[in-house]
Amino acid sequence: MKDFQAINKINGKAGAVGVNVLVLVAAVGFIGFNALFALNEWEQAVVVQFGDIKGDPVTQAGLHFKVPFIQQVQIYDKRLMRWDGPETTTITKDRKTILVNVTARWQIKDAKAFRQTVGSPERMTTILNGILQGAVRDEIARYDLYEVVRSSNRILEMDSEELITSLVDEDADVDAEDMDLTTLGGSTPALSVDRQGQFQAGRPVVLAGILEEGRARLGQTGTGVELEDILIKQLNYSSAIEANVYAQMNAELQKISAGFRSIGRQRAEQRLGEMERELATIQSQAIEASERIRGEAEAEAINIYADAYNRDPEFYQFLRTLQAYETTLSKNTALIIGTDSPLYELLKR
Amino acid sequence: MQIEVEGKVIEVPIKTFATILVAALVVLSAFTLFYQVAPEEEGLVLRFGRHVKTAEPGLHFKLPFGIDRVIKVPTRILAVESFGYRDNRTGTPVSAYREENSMLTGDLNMVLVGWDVQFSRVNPKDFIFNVQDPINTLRDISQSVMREVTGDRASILILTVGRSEIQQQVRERLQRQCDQFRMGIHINEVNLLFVDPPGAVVDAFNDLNKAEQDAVRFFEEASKQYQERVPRAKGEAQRVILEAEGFRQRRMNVARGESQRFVDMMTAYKQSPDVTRKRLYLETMERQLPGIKEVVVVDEALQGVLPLMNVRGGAL
Repeated sequence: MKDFQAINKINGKAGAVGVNVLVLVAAVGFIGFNALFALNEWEQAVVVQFGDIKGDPVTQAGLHFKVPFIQQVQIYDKRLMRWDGPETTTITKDRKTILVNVTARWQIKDAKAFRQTVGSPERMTTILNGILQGAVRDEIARYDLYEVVRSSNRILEMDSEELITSLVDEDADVDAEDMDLTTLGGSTPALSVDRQGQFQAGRPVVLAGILEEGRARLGQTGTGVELEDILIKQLNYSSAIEANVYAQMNAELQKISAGFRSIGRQRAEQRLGEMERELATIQSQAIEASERIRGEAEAEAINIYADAYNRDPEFYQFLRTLQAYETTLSKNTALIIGTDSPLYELLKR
Repeated sequence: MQIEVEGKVIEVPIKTFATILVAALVVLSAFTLFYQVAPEEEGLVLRFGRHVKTAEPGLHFKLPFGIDRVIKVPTRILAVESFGYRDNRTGTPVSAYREENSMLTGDLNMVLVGWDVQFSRVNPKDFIFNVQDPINTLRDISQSVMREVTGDRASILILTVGRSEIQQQVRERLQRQCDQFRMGIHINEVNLLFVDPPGAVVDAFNDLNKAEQDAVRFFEEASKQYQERVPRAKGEAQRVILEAEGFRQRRMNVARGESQRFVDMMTAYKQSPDVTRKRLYLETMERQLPGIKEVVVVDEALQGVLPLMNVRGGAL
């Protein structure tokens, strides 16, 4: 701004010297610009003079001075940088071939060292490719696959009963112990734990190992770069063993299906059993009650009859005998009577 | 003004040149003096690269000629990143993102998971100043966390009941990692869009669902039978009892009736027993005799009836 106002003023006073002034101003401006450099918040700079690095790296954002022309400024990022590794084929301790893709965060902590040993982020990527892929391979080879995949033993502590009841029915009264739970993690080995309760294996341990290994290797190179973090972005079976995995999954799923069906049948049979018990109880209770009532009735009837008949048992016997004749004598009966029978008297007449 | 007055003197080409230059600068500075921040944005104002203030939405003044620069960050926009699939405008099949959606589970099986992450850039300063490539870093973390979470769970659980718990776990860990990197990102939501078994085990998995339904159906059929038969049995039981009560009623009534009849007869009989006795006997026999096949009269003096019986037997 100032420069341009100056030009205007000079031009206004004397046109003849304008050319010279303009050239002078341009020259001063050019030199001035070369003596200044602006640094963004996310940047840091090293000042280089004839190939030598002068002073400490500049990390403060804003406008800075340098010696014009003699000193050059090399600007680097000071943010977390991203390294995205290529897919690596790795073999675990239990000889499983897996494809791993890790990614890392790195940061230029010492721009001076970085300028001297690496020079550019692109070169850093190449260096990290070598270091981290090696670290990944070495570290994963020390563990079985399940130790790379899992982070804890929660799969072993999984409440299978809870899972099954939530799958089948909320109010189900199911004995989940009957189910084969291999797929639910029952057969997977536990991650080893040391005396302090720290896991000796598992994904976080593997990642920490890779990070440590990577940091150690990086430290030896003296690049001024710090590894912040390692993440496993992808981790898959190689296509060669996928088919086996599918076969295993199919078998396990079929086992669980069969388990569900048998639980269903078990519960159904249980229900039917309850029903039969209920029916038997209801029916027998009814029979009991009914028989009691009938018994009481009979007893009372006996008393009533006895009361009456006891008043003249002989007459009762007589009446009852006559009644018996009525029912026992029929067409095919031969009647034998004595001559003193009143009936004989009747027949004689 | 001075410049414009002298600008009329055409013989001095240098002055004309200067005038045009200055005019151009004025116009240019007017354009670079103002900037606008949209309603969904915040503007980071950098003076010679140094952050001096953060501008809210609206029209603002700044120093021209690149002294002040403004980086606008859409802080209020809810951004979405998809994993294991893409918004299907291009028609790319999900299988094209196999590497993203294929997960190894804790029981060393495989599941396919597609999810999205909804986030906002809540802290524009952190978002721009701390991480070089925040969006791709977020993508790295998201994939890593999802693999970690699914890698610690059983496939059957992930495929069935574990979804909401997984979403929550991934969201929490994702946020924690973003905070660790000071990325200025807030994770609003993690949505599992699909959790599928691999193609080769789809049939077995579907059969698993069917097996669950079968299990429920078996039980419900039994329950239905229970519901039908138990109340009916209760009704029948009541009927049996009521019938018994009916029986009692009848038995009482009959007993009382017959007793009374006997008592009445007895009372009358006692007044003239011999005649009545004979009459009753004869009347009964009279009724019965026509139906009897033969009547054998035996002399009281004879001992037994057997010989006669034998003769009859032989005749037949």
